[in-house]
Amino acid sequence: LRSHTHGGSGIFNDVNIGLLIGHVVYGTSPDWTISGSGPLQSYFPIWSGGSGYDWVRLSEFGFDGPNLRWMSILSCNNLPDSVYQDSYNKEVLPVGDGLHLLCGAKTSVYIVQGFGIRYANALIGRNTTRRTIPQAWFYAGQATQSINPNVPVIFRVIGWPNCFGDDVINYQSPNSSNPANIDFLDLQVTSW
Amino acid sequence: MVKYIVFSLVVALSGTTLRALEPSLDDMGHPYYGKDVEIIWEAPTNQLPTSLKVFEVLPASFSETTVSNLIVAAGFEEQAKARARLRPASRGKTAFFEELETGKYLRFSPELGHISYVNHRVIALPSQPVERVPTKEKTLELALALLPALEITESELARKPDGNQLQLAHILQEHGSFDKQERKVVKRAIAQGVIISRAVDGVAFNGRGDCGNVRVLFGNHEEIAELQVVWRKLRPKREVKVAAKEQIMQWIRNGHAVIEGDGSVHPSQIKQLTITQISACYLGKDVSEKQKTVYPYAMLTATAKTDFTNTVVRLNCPIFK
Repeated sequence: LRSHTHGGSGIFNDVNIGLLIGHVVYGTSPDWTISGSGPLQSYFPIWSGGSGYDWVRLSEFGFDGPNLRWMSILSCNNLPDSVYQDSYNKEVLPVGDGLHLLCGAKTSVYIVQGFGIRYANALIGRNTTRRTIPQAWFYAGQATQSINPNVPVIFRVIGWPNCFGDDVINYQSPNSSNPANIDFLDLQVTSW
Repeated sequence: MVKYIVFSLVVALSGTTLRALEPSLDDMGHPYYGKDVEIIWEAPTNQLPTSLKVFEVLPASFSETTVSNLIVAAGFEEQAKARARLRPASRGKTAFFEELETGKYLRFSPELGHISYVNHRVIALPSQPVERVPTKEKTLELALALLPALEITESELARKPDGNQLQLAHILQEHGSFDKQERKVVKRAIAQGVIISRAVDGVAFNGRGDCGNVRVLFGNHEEIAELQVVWRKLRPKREVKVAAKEQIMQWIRNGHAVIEGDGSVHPSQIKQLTITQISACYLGKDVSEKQKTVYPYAMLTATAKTDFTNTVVRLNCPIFK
């Protein structure tokens, strides 16, 4: 799952759109293996057989084009404020110049069956209208979370500003490669 | 062989211990086995009904008035075309109209009890201005004002267990960017919405997704960006007796409940559960799932005590045998 530059095969960088479902924990202390600036990271446990788990750091994904435009990760806490902001400040978010958007979650979310089909339906407009990538992500998110949440649920999309209106047919190439220009979009659902 | 016979006998004699209870709450939280947990009951039960209904789901019917109201609310440029395309909806047929020029989409699916309207162009993109997105309070006012057009009355709305306030959820979409001059992250609300839950006989619907509710989101100029209504037609099938608190505690011990927490405590760390609130709910399924039967269940609020901390959790549990 890691990018070539981090010693992996960068499998997601071979496709146009990716969805990774799993578990995540996020760290509260600097991770010096990513860079000398010690950014906070979220960690993805990937079963590696008998020896246990290989923990992939958020920055190690290195999502990038020219093939991969939209990446989505359905897990808890992959883009919490602390990790997102620290990785943004230290320019190690896994958003390459060619990736348009990365969809994730800022809080705990429930992973339930049917998320993928709802996301796909919203992306292509099956029994609904075709939505933009962020709105399709939010649609699938809301369709699988409680209507009466006991804790706030926040889905988050990050990426290049001119790509937030992308859908799977009409889209724009990123018009910036300056990491300072990366924006985010949040959808929050809380009890009133 | 002897082990197999003993196991079979245990299964056969254990009655409700291993029998699956309705409804399946698998999607409503993490499995919870409270076998070795001390459970203390402090929740009042006098507000619980003694019996609840199980409902059969029938195809819904949308009146001509509802269909017409929503065509007007959508503000299609081609009203006549929209009316012609959507007319079958009031005769029980699925119908939709998509106006490519405006990006507006309206769909009626009577079989699912579902109305869907999407108009996402009123949600500002990062390069677009945010203009008159309603406040949280105004959002509720606008949402409640829509209900008559949907022929939904206030008596059909769910209320919080501890009072007369409506059971609502707030939706907020925000765009965030780093302001290079101010040297800080700035956020702007690009859409605000509300989820209004349904109730039947005063019992609230709960579940995942649009499962018995009105969900409406407003964008620029207080225009509707999205409306999802899931209001299935229900026919009582049978009446079931609400279980006693002792039975519910037993079901929690036997693993029939699921738990929802904030992630700060792992269920296996819980040593003691103090149940402080119980309410009956109806379990709705997201509209993408065809629901044939609607069952009641119990939603419990509890204080979970571990060796390190106390935290509030929610348990969802069967409410009848």
